[in-house]
Amino acid sequence: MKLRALMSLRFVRRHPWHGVLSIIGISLGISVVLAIDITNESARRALRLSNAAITSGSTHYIAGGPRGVDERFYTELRVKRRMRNIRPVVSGHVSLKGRRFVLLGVDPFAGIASGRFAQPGNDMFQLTTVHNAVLMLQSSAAELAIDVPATLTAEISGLAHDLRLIGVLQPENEIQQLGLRNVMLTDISTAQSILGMVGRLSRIDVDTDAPEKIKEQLPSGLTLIANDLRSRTTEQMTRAFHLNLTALSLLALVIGAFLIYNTMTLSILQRRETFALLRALGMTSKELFTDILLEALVLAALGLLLGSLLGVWFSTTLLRLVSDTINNLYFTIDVRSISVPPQSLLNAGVLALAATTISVSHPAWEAMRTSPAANALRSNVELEARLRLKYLSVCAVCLWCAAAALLLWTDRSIVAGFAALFLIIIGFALITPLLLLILLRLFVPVLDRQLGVIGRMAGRGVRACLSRTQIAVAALAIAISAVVGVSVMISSFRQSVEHWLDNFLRADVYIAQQQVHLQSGIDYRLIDSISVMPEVESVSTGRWTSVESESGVTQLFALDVSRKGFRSFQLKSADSDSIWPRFIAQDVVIVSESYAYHHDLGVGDVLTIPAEREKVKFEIAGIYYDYGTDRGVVTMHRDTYNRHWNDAAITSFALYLKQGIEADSFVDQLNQNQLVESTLRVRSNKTLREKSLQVFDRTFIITDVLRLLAIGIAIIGILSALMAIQLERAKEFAVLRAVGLGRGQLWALVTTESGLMGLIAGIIACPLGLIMAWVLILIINRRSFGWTMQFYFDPEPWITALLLSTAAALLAGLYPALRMIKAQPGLALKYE
Amino acid sequence: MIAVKEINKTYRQGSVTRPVLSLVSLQVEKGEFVAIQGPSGSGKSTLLNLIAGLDAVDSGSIEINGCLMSGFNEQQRTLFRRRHIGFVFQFFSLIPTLTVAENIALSLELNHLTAGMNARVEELLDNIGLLERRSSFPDQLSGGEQQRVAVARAIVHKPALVLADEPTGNLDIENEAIVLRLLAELKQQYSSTLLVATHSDDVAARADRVLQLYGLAEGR
Repeated sequence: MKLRALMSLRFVRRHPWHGVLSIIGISLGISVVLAIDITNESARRALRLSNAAITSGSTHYIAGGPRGVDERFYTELRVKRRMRNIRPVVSGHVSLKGRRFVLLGVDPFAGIASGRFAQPGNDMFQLTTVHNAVLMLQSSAAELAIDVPATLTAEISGLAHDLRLIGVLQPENEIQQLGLRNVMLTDISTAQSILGMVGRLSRIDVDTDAPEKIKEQLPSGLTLIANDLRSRTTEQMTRAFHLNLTALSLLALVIGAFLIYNTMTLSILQRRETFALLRALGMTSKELFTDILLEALVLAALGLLLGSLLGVWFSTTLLRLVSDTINNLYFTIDVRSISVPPQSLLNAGVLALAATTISVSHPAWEAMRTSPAANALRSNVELEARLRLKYLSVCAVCLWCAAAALLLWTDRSIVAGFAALFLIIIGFALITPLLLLILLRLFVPVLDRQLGVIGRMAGRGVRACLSRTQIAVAALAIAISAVVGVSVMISSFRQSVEHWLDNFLRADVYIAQQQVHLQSGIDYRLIDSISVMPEVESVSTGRWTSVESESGVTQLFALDVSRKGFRSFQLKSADSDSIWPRFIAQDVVIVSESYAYHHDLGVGDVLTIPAEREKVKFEIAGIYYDYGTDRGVVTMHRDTYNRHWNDAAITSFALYLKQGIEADSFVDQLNQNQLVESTLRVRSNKTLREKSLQVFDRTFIITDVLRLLAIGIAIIGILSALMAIQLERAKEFAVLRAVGLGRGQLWALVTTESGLMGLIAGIIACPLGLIMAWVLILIINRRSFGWTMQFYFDPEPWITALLLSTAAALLAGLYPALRMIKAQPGLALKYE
Repeated sequence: MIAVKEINKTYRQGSVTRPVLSLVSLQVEKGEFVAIQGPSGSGKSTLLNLIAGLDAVDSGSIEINGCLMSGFNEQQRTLFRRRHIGFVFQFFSLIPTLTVAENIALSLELNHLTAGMNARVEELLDNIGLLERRSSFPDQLSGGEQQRVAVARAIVHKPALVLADEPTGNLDIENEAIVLRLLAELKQQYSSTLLVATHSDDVAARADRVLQLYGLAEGR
């Protein structure tokens, strides 16, 4: 055993790049997976802690409609119905020194309420006596360089408010400490006053083990919701997003695994004579298999160690990108610190070892089959590689059929979508040798004509070393196809969004609240004064709000719109003019495509929403394209909304300007109005469109980062393969030098081979990238977010693929070429 | 010791078949030194490979020390070979990542014969005149030195049968003499059976018996 281990160790020492590249492959793959896992977990943990902190550990809460809960109802429950285990809560967001806090208004006298947030003390009761008094964590104050006590200027809906920090919260444990990091606690009346919710509550927290009894006592319009359901619903919102990130990270691991497969195959091919000898000396095939597997697992362990360190480091960068995306698309979350769950490390370890075992088992099996007779000649290896072509191609077709079946038989499973995508990728890897030979047959005559004997030799050289070149080309093709696929998906998505924005944003100027609150809408006087301005032709108003029920939160958009404005909704299966009469007069809504998908609803179905007085059934008259949010929106006419909700608030309005009025100048004019400037966000059509696309682009930064990592891994892969191939042929090149091939010609030969492999990989990557994009656009995005996107053909990714793969291969071929032209033919002939 | 009865072997490469041995039989007694001669392509190496269990016969039987080698599966052949057979190849065939001493010790370790391993290796190193080069790697040795190490490795576990495929084919006269001396000593010391495939008449002259193998084109 000692000598067997020594053999492996010394081989790795003599060929350090084998070991180094294997370690790099596994460490890069694992680092991406681990970083994404840590980031996802950190975001989820922050969300859970934040939920736990602001729900004060209660089991349920009573939610109202768009205007929250009337505080008189709380008094009734507490006084008349003698319910003691309830607490009123008013919450909203405030911004302090650029950091967002949840302003949580509680009743310090409501029994156990204070103890839920911190240890009861004098500070808690002073909240009721000091004007605009707040408490926050000592650590949060320190982070913002605030000494306690202090007067703070916080921004709420664009307006500045002076708050008095009178003391600090004293959390009872570390979890509470983390959950309260972005919480400012205040008295309920202070919160009502600051947030413009006088007489209203955001919710009533309830501790109960008999929810049904409470439900019976609730008046219509109020709903009792379990807190764990709320947490689950919130987590589900980002599930698809996290899942997509995980899948992209797994793609990096697959490419990393290819690198290991590549490196180990080449290292085994290099040692085939030694293995044949060992078998001749009596080493059993199982012993050989075990030795190779152990060698790879030791390298994987080192890669895992390095990858874990890298992963933790990457995650700090990714965390910001992920939390930005969640903030842009889903809800406000403040994730400042990463937590490295042992489970993530364990998962990474299992993945690293599994990926290594799977990647190595085939080359190790090949080594195991090494004939002990001295017939393991290179020609036999190459012959076997050619003979395997048809089996590999049949396997590829089988995998594609399996992928097609998976896509046909599953309708909504995202995991099945990704599984199919991975099967397609593996299938392409298996058929690469056949495609490589076909393309070589086309290229060799061209090279012969253009470069003469060097071109002919280069083409034949790639074909002669099929056992090695096929792996390098497959690895590069997959990495490049990932670049093409993701690029086409993003560009198609972007163009779909642009097209949607062009249709949807038809008004000239959009005015919305900086923050949407439960009760306070935009000042009517302001709307009236703007709507009568001579530049304004017409105005449409909207109310964005949400309604909570046992089945989750429904985003509602009540729109006071004209028939012409209604046409801006691109309906999927109906004509806006035909449903317009019913839309304005009946309990009819239109829902966004993602809402319909997530709730499995179609046109004609009935949607039940708890309104102010009762649960109301709305008929779905149409489904419209909407890329604004993947949570989905229910849109109804303002008249319909008014029939069921006693809420006149307006949260946004759009202006149609008279012909000839320049929107941006008009926006500047509006911003002169101090009230407009501080509380409202006024944007021209053009600016809003640009801002929307900026958010879109920011959302995909993380995808770009993962894509770049995949390219990096692929370049390392092709470098290792080319180095191995060219260095292994040192003797052949020495013979060529001996018969008179000049250094320049040798350089040309090596770089032509490298470039040819890169070009072919690029060509193979194009159809795979196209299929990958197709699956991502039509299957994965649909199943993840419920969006239908148009497939837009943009030549740029395809050209980039060809250039990138050729450049990567040429770059990777530089070092081997340099070594070959510097090698002394005599020495090479002697020792090789 | 060795009873080869009417063996056939054909190699296939894709659609091309190449018969190498047809109905070959031979008998070698224990302690006998037998040289096999024949033109290139006559199947000398194939015969040795089949006897060593490196390859399987298509038909016929091979029996060594009463064990039906041709009836063994691949695993059994491997285990039998590592315990009872030593093999010397034409092209030195040392493990490049092991030192001279480790190359020799490899057969002992594969057989789990580690007790007294170092002493045994030292003894053989002394015998082949490479005690001073014990820590050298194969690429630091000359061809003759490498083949001496290969012979030492083949006999270190005292096999009952040593097979040598052109053991002097790539050696100069001086090294050929050393290798032949080693093989002769081996036969004398351990009463090992020696089967050597060779083109060399000098080697054949030292054998107890010479068997001639003809290519299939020339008739068996």
